[in-house]
Amino acid sequence: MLMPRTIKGLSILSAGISGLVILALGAAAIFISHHEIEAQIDHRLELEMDALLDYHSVNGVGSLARLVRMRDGRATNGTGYLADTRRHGRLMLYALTDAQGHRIAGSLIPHMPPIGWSEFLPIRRPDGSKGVAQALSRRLPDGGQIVIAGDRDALRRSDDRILMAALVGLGFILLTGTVSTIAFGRLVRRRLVLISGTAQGIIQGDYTRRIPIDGSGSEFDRISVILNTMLGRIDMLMGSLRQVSSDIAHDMRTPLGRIRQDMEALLLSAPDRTMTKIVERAILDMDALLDLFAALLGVSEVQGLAVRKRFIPLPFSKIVGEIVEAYRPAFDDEKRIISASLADVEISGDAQLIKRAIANMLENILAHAGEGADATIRLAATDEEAVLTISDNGPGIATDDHERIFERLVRLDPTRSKPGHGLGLSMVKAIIHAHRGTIEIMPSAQGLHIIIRIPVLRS
Amino acid sequence: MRILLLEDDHETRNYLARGLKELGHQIVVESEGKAALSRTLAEAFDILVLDRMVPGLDGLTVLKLAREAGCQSPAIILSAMSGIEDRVAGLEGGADDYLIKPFAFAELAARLGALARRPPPGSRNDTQLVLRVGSIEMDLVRRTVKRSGRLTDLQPREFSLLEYLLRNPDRLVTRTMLLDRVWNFGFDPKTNIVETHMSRLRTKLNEGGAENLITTIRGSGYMIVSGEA
Repeated sequence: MLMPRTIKGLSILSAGISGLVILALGAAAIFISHHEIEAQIDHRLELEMDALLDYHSVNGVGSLARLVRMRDGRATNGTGYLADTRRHGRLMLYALTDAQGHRIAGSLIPHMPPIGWSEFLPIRRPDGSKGVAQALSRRLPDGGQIVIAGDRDALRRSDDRILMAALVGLGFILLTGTVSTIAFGRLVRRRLVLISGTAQGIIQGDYTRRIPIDGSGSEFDRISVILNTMLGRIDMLMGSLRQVSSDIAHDMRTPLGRIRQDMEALLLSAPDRTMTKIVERAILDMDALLDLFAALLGVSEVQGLAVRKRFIPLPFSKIVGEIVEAYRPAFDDEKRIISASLADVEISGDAQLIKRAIANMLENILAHAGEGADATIRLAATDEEAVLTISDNGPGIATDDHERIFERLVRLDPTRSKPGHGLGLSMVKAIIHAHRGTIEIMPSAQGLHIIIRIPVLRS
Repeated sequence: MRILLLEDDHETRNYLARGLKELGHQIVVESEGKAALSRTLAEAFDILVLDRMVPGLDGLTVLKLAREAGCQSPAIILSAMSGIEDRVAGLEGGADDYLIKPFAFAELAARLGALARRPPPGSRNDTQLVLRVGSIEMDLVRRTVKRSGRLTDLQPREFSLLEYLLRNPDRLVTRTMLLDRVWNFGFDPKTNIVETHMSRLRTKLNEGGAENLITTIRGSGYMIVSGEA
């Protein structure tokens, strides 16, 4: 079943159906009234015929002929909707012949029809126009023939009027359908723009945005109230998450801080080297724990997109260059090469986050690309986006893992023994997303190639 | 130095106060925000050390109000709130430094030292053109460095690194301070990029067998020593 999905489609369908219904009603009305009027004419003809035949049997053919001539020549008869006073006031026509077929009276029916009913008998009207009539013909006892005809013009006029009414109705339906479609579309669009504007604001990280309500109590108002309730709840949950995070931060970091203080004090009075080493390692482990905790919260924080509020124009190439230079000695020390070619391009963002993301990827190359693997950083710019490619010529990673490595706490090292907490690339991805960019791994036979695209800042 | 310490946790407060006293500072402790604010308004301090989450007024509000009232003392915020935005809010709120709890005491001490050394904006020291420690001489205008009169060619980042050390002679400078001030990293990278740059800087400065002036304080950071033999 093909259902329309847009307001326009629905309106066209609805107007189409209404139009068809109007046309069907019109056709039915024409059909019924046509038959009804036809039956009325027939009935009228029968009554008239009976009366004339009675008159004939009492007064003879001479008197009948006089009567017919009189009636045929006068603007009479026809009542109600059968009457037509507007044009020539005539409905009924007569003709009378003798036994030999000579015309005795009535001149408006050119040809005598056969005995019985004739549906479409040609007639002339007193004004000279031609028409068709419904006619009843009877044999007189003396062998003559009498014809009474009812002009079908009334039928045609009635059909025309109903058809006209139906067409006017159809036109009206189409007109109101079009107008209401446009008006309805505007109304819906106006409200949807408000809703999508709010949604956009929230996507940008502004959780305080709510959909405006105009107090009309319309469906849109009601759905907006429900959506606002939902948004309020999300905001509340986000707020309590933040609260819980900072509470945990406080409640966990305070005692850990004390332990750290105690251990520092212990370090100063440690009796021997073994003790010193144990305490030092404990402090390192605790710092790693705090680091992991901060990293987890950090990924969530960046994903929350509130960082976007602080975005400013950034010289992307300069920042990438700085990070590359910061890591160059580390590559040199391992006799590895880091090379960069950077096109000049500006983006909107947060310098510290961008630095963190790039530093993270370079550290991944240092830690995971294997001995002697070199790094190549290339920044290109199109009209729309800055394209940063970070490649190494190490062993790369299996295609199946390409998506997975951006997930939290995923580590491809099955023993999880290498340093790191598996949050680096999920942080990188969160940062790139906050900058409205994309990050993907290019399939390759050699090495790992990460491609980052971030919209350029237009001046 | 006269230091105001606002910290509500009893043990931490004692630990920090004792440590700072041992370094020869004069410490005034407060455990509640409003009292700390009245103190800052009534007395002069060389440095404010404010914990962010304390009863009454929080540390950041204390600092904002003190700044509005004209207090110009350098301030360091201590906080268990480790979020990216928390740090930004702290620095934008008028703090000169933001230290996340828990921290090594040496880190706090080093940062306090650097803050106290920092010349107030607009003062005469701010326009110092030449930095000298031992036989190292740095010309900030020409951006040149001489060791015992011989020009040493430094990369821009090595220059900034040395500049920071020279501005804090005989004082511990921690790794994270250098990351913050020289590289402007608001995060802790896993690779020791400070160490790799420092070793290059040392090699260049010590070329020709000159004595090493930059010592490594194990587990803490670095120090440039002025008392050259």
